[in-house]
Amino acid sequence: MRVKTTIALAVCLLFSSCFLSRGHQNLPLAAEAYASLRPGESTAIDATEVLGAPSEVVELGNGSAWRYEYAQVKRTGLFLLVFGFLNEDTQSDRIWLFFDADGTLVNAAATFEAERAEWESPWSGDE
Amino acid sequence: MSAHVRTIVVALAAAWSSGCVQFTWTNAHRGRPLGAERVEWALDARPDLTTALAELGAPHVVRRVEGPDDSDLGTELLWVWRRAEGFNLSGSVPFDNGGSASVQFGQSNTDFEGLRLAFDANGLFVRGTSGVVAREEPGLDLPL
Repeated sequence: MRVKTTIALAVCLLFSSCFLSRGHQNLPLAAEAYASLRPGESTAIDATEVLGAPSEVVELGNGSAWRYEYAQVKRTGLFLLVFGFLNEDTQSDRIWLFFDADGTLVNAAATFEAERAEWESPWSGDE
Repeated sequence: MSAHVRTIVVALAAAWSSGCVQFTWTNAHRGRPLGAERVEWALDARPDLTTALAELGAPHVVRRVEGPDDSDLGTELLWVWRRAEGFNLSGSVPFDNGGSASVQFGQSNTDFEGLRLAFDANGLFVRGTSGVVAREEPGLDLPL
């Protein structure tokens, strides 16, 4: 009985500092809103109506590029006395819209990976 | 237990209980690698801007490429990803009035890997490179 109690206390002590956390940057992007934009037809005004204000505007020589981004980070931590083991996985949804000098959408690209962020053990390897 | 071992254990316990010393192993992932096949395709096929966006998805960084006389040479796209792991030792000493001093020793790869493609003003492929991308490069300093 005494041994079991000792083991239980030791386990509680060792694993008392585990955590899982999740962080976000910006609001999630709507894939449907992105899909409603048509190169050659949609304008910068259309983009702001369905996606809101961009996170970044890059001035290009013959137009501009707008970035929309939502990022999610999942962290796993385990602290054993003075030793800490941390894992952090950051993934993002990104949309880039390229407009010509008249504000007409000429190119667009989207990548949706934020939901693929995972809580993994600190010693997990690459995929 | 020898005297030396006892001393080490007590010192570690004291440092830990006061939060002064922390050894940390960190494994950090950011972004998904494009994959060797897609990188090789981008460098060999020399796609135009529209095709590159369609095949590779949204880049992380878009920037204007300027000539020496501030003329517009085109657009550069950068896709990045990172798999960093490393060991870190940090120590801190508390002072009066809530202040503290800390020092960190670490060994980890904090640079990114990436694919960089440049296009002229008409969206035609100019050049492409892949490999290490310095963490200090503008556009890679997301707060997360």
